[in-house]
Amino acid sequence: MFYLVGWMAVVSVWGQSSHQLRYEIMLSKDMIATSHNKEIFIRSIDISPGKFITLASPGRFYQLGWGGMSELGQKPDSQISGFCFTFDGLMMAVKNRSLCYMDSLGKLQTLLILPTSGMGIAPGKEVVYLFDQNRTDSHYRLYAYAKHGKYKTLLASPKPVVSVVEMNGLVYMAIGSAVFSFSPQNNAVNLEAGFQKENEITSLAVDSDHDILYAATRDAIFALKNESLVYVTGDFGGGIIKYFQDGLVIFNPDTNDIIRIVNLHSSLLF
Amino acid sequence: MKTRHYIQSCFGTVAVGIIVVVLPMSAYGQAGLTNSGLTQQEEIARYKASQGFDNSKKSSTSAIEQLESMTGKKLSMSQATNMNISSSAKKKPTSVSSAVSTQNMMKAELMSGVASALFGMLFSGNSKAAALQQENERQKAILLAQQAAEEKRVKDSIEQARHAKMMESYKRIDDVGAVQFKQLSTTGLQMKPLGDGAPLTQEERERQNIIKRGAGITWDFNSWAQVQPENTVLQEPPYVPEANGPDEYFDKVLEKIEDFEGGKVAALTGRAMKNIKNETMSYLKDASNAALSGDIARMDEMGNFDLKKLTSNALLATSKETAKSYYAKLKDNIEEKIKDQNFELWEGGGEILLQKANIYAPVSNDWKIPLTR
Repeated sequence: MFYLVGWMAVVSVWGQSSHQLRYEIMLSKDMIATSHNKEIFIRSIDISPGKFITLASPGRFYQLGWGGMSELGQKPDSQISGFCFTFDGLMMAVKNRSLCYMDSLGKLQTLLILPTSGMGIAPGKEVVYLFDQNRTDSHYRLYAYAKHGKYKTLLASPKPVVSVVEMNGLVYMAIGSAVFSFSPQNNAVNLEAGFQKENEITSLAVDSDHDILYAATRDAIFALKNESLVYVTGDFGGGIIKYFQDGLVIFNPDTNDIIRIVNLHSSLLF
Repeated sequence: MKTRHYIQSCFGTVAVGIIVVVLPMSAYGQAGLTNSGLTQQEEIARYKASQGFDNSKKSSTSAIEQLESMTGKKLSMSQATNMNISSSAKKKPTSVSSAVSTQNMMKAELMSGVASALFGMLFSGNSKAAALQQENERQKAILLAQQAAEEKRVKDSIEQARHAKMMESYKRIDDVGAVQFKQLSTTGLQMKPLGDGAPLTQEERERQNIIKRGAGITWDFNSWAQVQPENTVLQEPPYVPEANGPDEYFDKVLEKIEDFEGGKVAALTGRAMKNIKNETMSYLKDASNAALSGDIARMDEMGNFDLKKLTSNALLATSKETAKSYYAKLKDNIEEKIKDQNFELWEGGGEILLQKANIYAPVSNDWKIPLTR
């Protein structure tokens, strides 16, 4: 294990009102550029049970916290395409065609073999979602995988599913430049929001406390609530987003910037 | 008040009239004297006899002596009408006055008795009513006391019965020293495997309730496919397009969206086309420029502008230090301030922390594919 940079500039300040809008600079390209680490991160981000921001390059996992960043686990023997923490705290990762979990020694152990390589993965309330990214046909599947080896094919899409989240009894997914909802109760699909085709959605995040769905494109962040769409900001670019503890974490894999906007919901006018 | 005073005055007048006119006769009757044609002297003599006087024809001195012997007091009389009564123990000599004074004294005695009899007769009716009322109250009090005693007896009986019943529920140990616990047999103990009809766990019951209500995302795993332990492969189902199914819907909608022509930032939400609102947080642009350019001074300024002073640990030249020394240096400074923040200190992070938590073994077992269904 080697040590990387200390990080975290917090433009917001402690002692201010806990409900005030603020933003925190978690990581910047300058910090990364001047360190030992010049990894290029994959387009995946999550928060560990121990409240560390977790990132991954194709060959390593990393955890960020106040004052530092470190590697997580052993070096995988093949490339990682995605990872997440399950609802009960287990780290799962997709390594080529394998769905793996990280054991207590930090080694990825294979759970099962997936239909295609490089599948996407996202956590759910009781399941993890797995979705095709690489296919020769145009039938990209979305699966739900549960404990004890149970799984179900939810749907097939003409385009790859990019991101999946749950909110209010529905499964939301980003496909192309559109956001769809899927009802597990009746298998119904509905369009929730659509952008111009140039604005393909790269990530979704959910503020369950305020029923807000965030969608990130390459250049901007949007918020959706009750069929009302709000443009949040394009100043930080888009990228991969994750909602955690009243804050929207925006991770730009192209620039290695991580910015967190806290108490954003109170500033949004739907 | 005036009325009351008037009544009292009238009553006093009438009473005096009765005393003067009517009641001497009654007083005599009350004292056992009847107006049977005797002279006043004779009647007085009879009255004196009834009161213990010697009614014989003795001198007045003798009568006084008799009076002194009756009362145990010596009578001392002045020349006139003054009369002092002293104790018989006193050595002061007693002077005896004339028989007229004695007679006056007797008259006063008699009038005193008459007045006493008069008032006794006046208030005899009220005394009887009061006595009757007092007797009623006494009887009532006795009755209440008897009732209270009976209630207490019944209550005590009930309590006693309860206590007896409770004590019957405890099995008494006749011989404490002989009590032994039966040991578990090491050979006869067997675990009965859970079958399909086994009762549901609480977690599973809650899930089933959610499924029935149709609320929240939950799944009926009984209808799901099972990864086989032999090959541990998540089998891809053959593609069978459904009429009016999700696939068809995706095709139509995505095609429509791609043809959608909007402004710079326009979007289609739900069924309605909506213009996206302008950004409401304009300062974010400046902040992002400062942050992404690494301009600490500008961020500090931004912090002062909208929020508060930038903390001292922002963007230190950390690249020249290891994270460990960085942490050690700032520990005192950071730890106190960020303990209520949303992310953890880096020290102890990574796999070390995960190993300490020791969550992976039990959790991962749940996600593994079981050997048998």
